[in-house]
Amino acid sequence: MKFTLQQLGLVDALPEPVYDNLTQLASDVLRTPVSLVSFVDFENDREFIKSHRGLGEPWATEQETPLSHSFCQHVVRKNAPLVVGDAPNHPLVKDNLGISALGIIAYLGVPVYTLERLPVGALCVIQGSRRDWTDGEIASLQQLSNCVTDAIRLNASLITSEQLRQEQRDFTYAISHDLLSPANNLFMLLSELKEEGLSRDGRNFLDIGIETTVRMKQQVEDVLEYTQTIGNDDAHKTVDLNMLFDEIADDLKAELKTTAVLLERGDLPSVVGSEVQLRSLFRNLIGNGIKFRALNRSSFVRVSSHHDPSSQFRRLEFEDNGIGMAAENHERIFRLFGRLHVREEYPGTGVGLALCRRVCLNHSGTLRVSSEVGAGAVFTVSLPRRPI
Amino acid sequence: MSDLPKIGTIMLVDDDQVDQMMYKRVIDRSGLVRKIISFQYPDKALEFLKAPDCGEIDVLLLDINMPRLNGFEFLERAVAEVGPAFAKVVVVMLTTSLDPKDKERADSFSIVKAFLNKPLTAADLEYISSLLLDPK
Repeated sequence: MKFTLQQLGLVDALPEPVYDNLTQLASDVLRTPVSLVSFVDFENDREFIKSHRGLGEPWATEQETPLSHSFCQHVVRKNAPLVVGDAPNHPLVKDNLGISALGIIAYLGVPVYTLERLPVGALCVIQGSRRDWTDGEIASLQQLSNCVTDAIRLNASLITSEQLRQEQRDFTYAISHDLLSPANNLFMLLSELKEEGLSRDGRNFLDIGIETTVRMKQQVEDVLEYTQTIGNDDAHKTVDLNMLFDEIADDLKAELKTTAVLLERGDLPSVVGSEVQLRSLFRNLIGNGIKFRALNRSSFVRVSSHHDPSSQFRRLEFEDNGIGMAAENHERIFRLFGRLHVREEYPGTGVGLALCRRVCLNHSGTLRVSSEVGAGAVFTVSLPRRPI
Repeated sequence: MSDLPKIGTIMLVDDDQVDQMMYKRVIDRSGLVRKIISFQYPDKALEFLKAPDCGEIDVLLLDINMPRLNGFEFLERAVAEVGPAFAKVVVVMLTTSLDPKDKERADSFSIVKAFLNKPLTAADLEYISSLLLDPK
């Protein structure tokens, strides 16, 4: 992706520590009173000073000079260092207004680059008396300018990845959203068709068709929820997990009754986080505990909190005595669409635990499982005690 | 069609019951296949292949996204654990995956002779039976 100097925050922008540190360092290393990181904006006939040390007024406040005063423009034009020991006697800059207005006599500037390796500005050091710049000094400034270039490129990469992320989220959202309406239409059409007289085979296919559209809807909704949770920036607030649990338990009342699963909670803490995401986390982990119950014993799902004052994390445990799983599958279950069973045995879309792990990551925490086949499972959520 | 050789035994490994049902209908209608063995769980299919009396499999139709083992993990384990009998099987990946990386990964297995997108058609089956004539 290509960015303008504006988009990169290199012109018409506030100072940033990364550039300020480097100008500081440049004037320290080269022992000059003045140093600048500036960008040349040929279109608007100006040099914008992103960062400076020791620059006089009014330039320091205005943060720019016209090109008539600019030495740096030559660095950019030639894409090479400009070494000036005595400006009034230097053929290229002897008429530059910077000499009288800014008092530039000795100048050393080296180019800085964008992601595409285009020279866009300079890191320079300036003093008001003549000076013979040594090769070593030029090399030092060169090294510092590489750091300026790195900062620019890093910033460009960050902006790029942020844009791509946003685009991808919007795209996934649009796609999933657009998939829901045909699934709904199909569902309605097939349901209508069922009213017509059909053969036994036909009715059977129709039932499968209807079931498929229901599943498709579920799948799309789950993916939608997942993409909305990725890198989510919901407002964080204090969430009482006891209340959250009780609400979910209430929603699950009917299911708990038909499945005869005993749902219990210990005393849970309040945490700072996204209520929507934490609800998702609890709903999925408790829901899994119920879904994967063992049919040959009375089942429970227990949610409890473990407080270890020496640890930076608080642990929440979701324990069940269900069917469990083999160690080799402990990571697989957290993968997006990772599943251990065919649909007919345990329905699901393979999104739930990927979502749960994402919620924990979003809260600077972790999610782990410990389990064996037939011996239940304990899902452990670790959240930092002090929110980050 | 009559000059094409019939496929002896075809093995289906796909967790989706509806897909399996449709495959069987297409296969039955084609009359190209003598026997169908099907598995919804890849690990069960692997167990079956490892048994000494599993008989000869001519074609394996393999899904990618499945519980416990994905199609590629299944292939890796089958190549390593089943032995030379497996090398003779014509493996056809049959998937809804549109990800070119999946195709690439499939190509990296010499045993995979085709990469087809669902749904399976009668024409696909004829193509598969022609692979048996001239395995690469």
